[in-house]
Amino acid sequence: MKSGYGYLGYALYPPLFVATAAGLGAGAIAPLRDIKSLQAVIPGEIRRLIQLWLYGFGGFYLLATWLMLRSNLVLLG
Amino acid sequence: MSPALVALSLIAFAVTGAVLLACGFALRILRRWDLASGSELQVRLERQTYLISTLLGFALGAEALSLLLFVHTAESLSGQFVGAMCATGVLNVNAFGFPALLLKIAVFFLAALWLLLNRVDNRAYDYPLVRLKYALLLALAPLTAAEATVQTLFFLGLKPDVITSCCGSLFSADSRGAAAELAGLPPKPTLVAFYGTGAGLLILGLAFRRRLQLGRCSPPATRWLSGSPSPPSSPSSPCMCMKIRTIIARFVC
Repeated sequence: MKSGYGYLGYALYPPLFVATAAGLGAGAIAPLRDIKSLQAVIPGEIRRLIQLWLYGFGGFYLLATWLMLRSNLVLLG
Repeated sequence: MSPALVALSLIAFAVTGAVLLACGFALRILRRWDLASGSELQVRLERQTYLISTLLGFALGAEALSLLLFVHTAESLSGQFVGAMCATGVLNVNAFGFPALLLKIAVFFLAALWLLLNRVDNRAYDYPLVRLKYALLLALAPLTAAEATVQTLFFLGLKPDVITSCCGSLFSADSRGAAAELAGLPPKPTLVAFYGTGAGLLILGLAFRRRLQLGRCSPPATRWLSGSPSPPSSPSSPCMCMKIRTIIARFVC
């Protein structure tokens, strides 16, 4: 989150938090799909949340991998 | 006092005020809501629920954004404390720093869940989740009040003469605590666990999607996974790409 690291921490955490919230949300509303008036709404919402979850975690893992690859750290142990 | 601290305090107290105000309404909803009734009270509750939902939508949205502002503020204050080099050092200045952060994270996820329930409920014709979302609000209220209190105690306890310890000592393998234990783990197994967790989450999520039978994979990423036409143009080897797609698609769709 420092300027020396290009403020990359700010790009790392939001996708992780958004993806976690989307995953939790999808799991929380899934049991509600049996309610008659929600039968047309819930599948679309879950699909959208899973999409958000995929992109969020995908972005987090891609950025984390890129940060590890470009760093000068040496893997010991 | 920096403008960011004032802004954070204002957000916390405004959100707590809005949530506590809505709690009185939530209790009335839980006791008196009856969609089948055409009584004056029911009509008033239906009208008020729009107002309260909109108010809470803005309040909880601001609360979610304040998590980022809180971390940014802690980071920016690091130059004012001896021993602090980053947000970790500032959060260590007194005993309320990390509890405030953890409470903010908990409120962030609960607020996100409430906003989702509100969105789903508003799209149905008979408000089927109205009791559930206001019951969740009653659970959220003590957390927002606790968060505002702990955050205020943290800000009031920021004494510039305190010598704090930063991430270097907190995440050192020689220290005690969960953070130090995690930092002290050997790198290679940790790397395997990191990517293993990612792969596990991916498989779990896609299996969940498949179990709910949510239909064809429509977004670009999942469309690519399912092997349907119009793939992304990036793969260098179409044959290898097809093989990988077929293997993953067996798992997914």
